[in-house]
Amino acid sequence: MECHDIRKNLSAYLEGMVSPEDQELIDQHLASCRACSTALYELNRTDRLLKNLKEVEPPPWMTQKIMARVREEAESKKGFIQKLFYPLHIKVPLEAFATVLIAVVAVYVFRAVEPEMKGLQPPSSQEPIITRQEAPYPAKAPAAETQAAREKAVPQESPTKTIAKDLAVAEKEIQKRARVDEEGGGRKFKDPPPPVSEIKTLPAPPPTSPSTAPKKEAAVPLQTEAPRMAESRTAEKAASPPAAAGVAPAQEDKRALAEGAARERKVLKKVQPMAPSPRMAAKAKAEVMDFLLRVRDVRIAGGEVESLLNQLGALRINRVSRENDEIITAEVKAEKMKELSEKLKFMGEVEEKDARLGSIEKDTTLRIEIVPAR
Amino acid sequence: MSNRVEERIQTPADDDSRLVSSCQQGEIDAFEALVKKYEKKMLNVAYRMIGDYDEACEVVQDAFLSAYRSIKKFRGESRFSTWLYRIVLNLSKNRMAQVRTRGAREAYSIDAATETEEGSRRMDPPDEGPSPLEQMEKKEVDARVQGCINGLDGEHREVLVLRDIQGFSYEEIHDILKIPDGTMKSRLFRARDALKECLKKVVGDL
Repeated sequence: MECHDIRKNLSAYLEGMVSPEDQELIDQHLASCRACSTALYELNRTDRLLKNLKEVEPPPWMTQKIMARVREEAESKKGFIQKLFYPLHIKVPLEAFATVLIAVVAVYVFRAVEPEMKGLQPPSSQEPIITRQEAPYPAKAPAAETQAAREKAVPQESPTKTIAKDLAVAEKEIQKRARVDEEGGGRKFKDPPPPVSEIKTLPAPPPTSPSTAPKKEAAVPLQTEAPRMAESRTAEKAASPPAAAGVAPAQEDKRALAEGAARERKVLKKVQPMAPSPRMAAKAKAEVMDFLLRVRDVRIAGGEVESLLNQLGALRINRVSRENDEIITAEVKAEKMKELSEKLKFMGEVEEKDARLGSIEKDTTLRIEIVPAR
Repeated sequence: MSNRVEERIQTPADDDSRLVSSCQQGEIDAFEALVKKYEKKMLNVAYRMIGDYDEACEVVQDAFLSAYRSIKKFRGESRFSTWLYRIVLNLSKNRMAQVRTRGAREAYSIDAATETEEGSRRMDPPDEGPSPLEQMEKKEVDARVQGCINGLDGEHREVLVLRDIQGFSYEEIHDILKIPDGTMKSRLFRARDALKECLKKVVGDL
């Protein structure tokens, strides 16, 4: 064995990890080779130096520091699942989330059910009331009565209801003129007006009255002005004997006028004792505004106006259909008034009997009369 | 009575496995017992590997934290201490590399010292003239020895530290490092030779 090989094995030799044969060879070589025995000595010293190295002591804070980090790690690890589901402690996250979730779900459920609940509630007084009164077409007494009731409601209204009064004033004007007419013709028509039975017995005015001709002229335009000519004629037919066949047209006109006035008074008498209807009470609450809407088809326009009023949230919609016209009354909110008037203008020719439409600042009862276009 | 008998026959490894299973069930106190048991040895391994006390302390803390994080994966195939030393050695080798690239540590280079066979030239001798090892203070000798250890590369250093400083058996070292016996021994013997040569240069005649 060369020195080189011996030195390679010295470490193992020191540890007794060489075969007995190698150990003998090394022993023999070491005895004769000074350099190799010195190397063995140095190796031994080195080993001793390493084994004698002083152990270092961990700093006193070491354990605590390690455990602090470990606990921090443990907290954050269990934090997610255990903090959420473990009882006790202050588990704000899960409870708070659950509470919010319940609240949100409750709101959604309530919203989803709300429309159905509304459907179940009995219609309150604030709900729009849509009534459609279909009058029989050859206007008979009931129709006349309905109309009269509407018209005669005017005197019962409070003094502020000026718009509706306009109509009443116009009608009174007619009556007055008719009265003057009659008086001019030698007839004495004193208030209170005679009941219908009295009128029936009245003799026809003398055809030779000198003022008849001019008064007839006055009466004709009045007839066109009077909005209820159809009814007037019906009333006339019912009230007057048919014996007037041979009477001159002038006379017939005059008599019709007189009797129309009488009929109106009669109806007024009949209506006055009636208790005010709910519709009248509603009218009394708000201003009344009249529109005249001229359209090509009265029925279609009536339906359109009715649905428009519904859209605008109008209350107490009341529609009365008659032979030639439709009358719709409704309470409309002030802020919807402008929109309503705009839309009505699209449907046909609108005549506002009162020009204050733009300046209305509170809820108003509208009365829209739909008549065929001229 | 029987308990006392059982305690007496319990080996440290049994004790460790009991503590480990407690840890795995979330008992942090059990882990603290393991920390207290092993921190000193861990620190000494780390210190001899790195050569810097403060760095070694940090490495030991990191090693324990790393062990805690993965303790649930510990299946007991090897002893807990073996597993723990493997962790601290790996972290120490990583730290060594960082320390070396920073250039913060001076190491005695074995290669530079072996230029000549019998020149016995001291590399960077701290003092002029040969001074006998006995005249040196223990602390100084230890520092020079550590300096020479620092000059070894990681592979040689770890076997030297485990075998010659910490006194692990070859079997334990084999378990920790998971290298073949032949490789382990040749590394160890080469490490010793290199260290001997280094020490001859830095402390004079051994």
